[in-house]
Amino acid sequence: MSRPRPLPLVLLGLALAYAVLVPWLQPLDPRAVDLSAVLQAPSGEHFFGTDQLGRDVWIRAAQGLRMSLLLALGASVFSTVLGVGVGLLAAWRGGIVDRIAMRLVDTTNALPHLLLAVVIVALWRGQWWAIVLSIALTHWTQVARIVRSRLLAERTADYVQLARASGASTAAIWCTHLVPAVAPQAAIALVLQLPHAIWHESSLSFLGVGLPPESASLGLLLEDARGGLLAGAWWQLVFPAGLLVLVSWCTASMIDTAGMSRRRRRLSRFRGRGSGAKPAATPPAAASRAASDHAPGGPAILVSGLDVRLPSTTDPQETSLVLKGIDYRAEAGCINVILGASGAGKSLLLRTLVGLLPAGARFTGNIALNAQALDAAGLAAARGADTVLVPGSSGTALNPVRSVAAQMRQTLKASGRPCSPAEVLAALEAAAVDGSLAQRHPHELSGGQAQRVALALGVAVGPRILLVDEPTSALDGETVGLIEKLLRARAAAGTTVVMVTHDLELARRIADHVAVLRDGRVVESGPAAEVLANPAHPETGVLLGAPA
Amino acid sequence: MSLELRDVSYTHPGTEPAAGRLLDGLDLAVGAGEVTGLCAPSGAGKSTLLRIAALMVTADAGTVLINGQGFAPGARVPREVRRSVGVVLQSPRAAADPRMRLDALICAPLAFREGSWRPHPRRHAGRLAELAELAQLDPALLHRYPHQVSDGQLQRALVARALALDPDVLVCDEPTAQLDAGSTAAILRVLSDRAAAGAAVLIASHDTAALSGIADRMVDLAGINRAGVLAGRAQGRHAARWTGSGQGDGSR
Repeated sequence: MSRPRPLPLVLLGLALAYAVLVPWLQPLDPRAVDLSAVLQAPSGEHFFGTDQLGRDVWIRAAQGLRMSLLLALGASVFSTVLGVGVGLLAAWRGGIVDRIAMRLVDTTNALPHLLLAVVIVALWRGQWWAIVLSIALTHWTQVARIVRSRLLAERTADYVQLARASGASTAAIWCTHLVPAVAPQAAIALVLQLPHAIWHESSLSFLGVGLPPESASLGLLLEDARGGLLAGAWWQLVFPAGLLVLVSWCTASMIDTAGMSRRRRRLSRFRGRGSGAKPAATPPAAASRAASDHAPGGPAILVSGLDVRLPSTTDPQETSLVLKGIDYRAEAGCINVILGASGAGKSLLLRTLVGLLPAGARFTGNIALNAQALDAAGLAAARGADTVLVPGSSGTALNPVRSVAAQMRQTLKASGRPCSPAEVLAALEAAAVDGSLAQRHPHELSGGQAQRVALALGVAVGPRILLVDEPTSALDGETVGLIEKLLRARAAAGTTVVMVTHDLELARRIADHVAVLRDGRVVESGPAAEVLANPAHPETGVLLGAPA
Repeated sequence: MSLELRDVSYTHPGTEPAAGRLLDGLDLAVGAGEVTGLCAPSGAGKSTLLRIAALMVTADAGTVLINGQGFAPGARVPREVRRSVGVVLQSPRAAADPRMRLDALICAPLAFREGSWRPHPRRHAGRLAELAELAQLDPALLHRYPHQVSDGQLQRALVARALALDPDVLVCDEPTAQLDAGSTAAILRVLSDRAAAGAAVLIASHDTAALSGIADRMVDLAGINRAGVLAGRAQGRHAARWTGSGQGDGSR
């Protein structure tokens, strides 16, 4: 889980200290009545004033907050346990168990929550556990749904299949793969249920079906304030209600859920989802500009003194220098090939050019695309329109629930191009994707077909700069030829193609310009004929398989 | 130490019968100490065939024999048999749990064999170092998560994982697709060393040049699959229906 935000955490800590310390330091029988001090305004003696029975609101609010928090905590823990239990059972047993569990979820969701809660509380009036039960029994369903769907998705993942194929027991698969996938979801669900449960308890007490009126909870205090408000006692409403809002806000915003989803996105991106597979919303103008006005002659990509630091794996504060002083240029309308051993930083360079560095990574140095110096935000803005990256394993990142044709249609639509069925088919076939695959879903494609589809989606946007990472790694010779033709055609039409590949034969056939990376540095670059025929650096020689 | 497929047929679930089978009446045998290379154009069913051979996918009909022990569709496969089969899949990203470090990924099968529910990289440190060296994986990468290494490095880790239990049968789907020439040679050498130690190795790769260097025999899927012709015809019909120009195909 990501780190909590400081401000809500501090405020919540203060509120908790107030709820615990005040009733402990200033014990007050909640039933004690002092009719000589009725409805006094806030003062040095009574910070929050007094209520219609002369009780100190400062102390009563603390007692109420403590009670509300305890009830809410009990209710959220109980409902999360219940939800996780049902979700696990449904996903694990499947079949009839799953169907019964899910219909139970539907039925519970169909009942009005408050009504059901009122019925339960009315059966055991004034019992704290009845309130906990009534909230938990109406709120476990979301958790069950989330847990179940997450598990169903994880179970079909390749790594779970692989674990099973290597003889892992069911318990081992659960402990190693499934539980770690579900636990963060359950934790978030628990925290997000807390404020909701606080409100729910307050509503019940406010309606007079919660705790007995002489005890203290935030809902009861609000109920008291109803009478006081007519007498002008605003403090009776403002302080308990303020606490209620404050605590709910603090709990809900304590975990950085935006950060969590960023992290998840990062994970999935590294499984291969990039701009190529899913182009961002593209301004129509940008796409049509691509074909017409590319500046002839000048470099399409000019990188100088580029350093990229990645956060260290052990200590997030430390960074390690991965790309070291990269100087790189790619001429417009050419095919530029980047070679290098695994881990040399080739893919990272491409990711930097589209502003897709992993979280916590930083770059320094100058990057200019199409003679325009861009910072990280500018690079990200150009992605999906002017520049497109088709990552290495992007075939695995196609949207699993939409057909190939639907994804192509969406891509064309987003870049403001005509998207009739015929256009969609033409766009696919232009990228060597057989028309017969159009109606298939990604799981019905082979690895090589999926990779071609991903490339087709990237090309369809009509970028001025096309970055492709290992476009041919899973393809047979015949299809490699088709891809080769496609890239050549793009370059001839003025697109700048930058390709990372291990396929030396392919590089020899189509590269106009070659750069060789080793250990985060460009060790050699120049016209393909020169570099590949007379390597100046030993690394190039090693890559080419020649004796260095 | 052998792998054999007898009369195996497979149709993608949910495919119309008209579209035909993906694999039909397929026979393939890989003997002990033998490296068999499998080649076919993409979409021909290579990956499916390998998953059936690795007992990850159940065929519609036919038998998979591991070390002479036959498994018909639906038969229960003992864990010991599964442990004697090592698998390398095509996409290292999909095959690695993003929440596990490389050391945990590699030594997980060792822990699972001992009945542990979680991998214990420290307990298996010695074997881990051996495996990393075998797959030419820099030991400094072992503490990283999959998103912190390149595709090629991750694939090497997954090859190390597949070798962890000294499998009798190795099934590899494009094991070198993400690797540079140097690593490709190294990985293929590791696989052929495994064969020299007596394992039956089945490798699918489009890189026929590199593969034929170590393979004792190359098999073209089209040559052993009776479904090839039929499927091609059905695909054409699909396309016609999609473009809306399919009048007169008369198939509905």
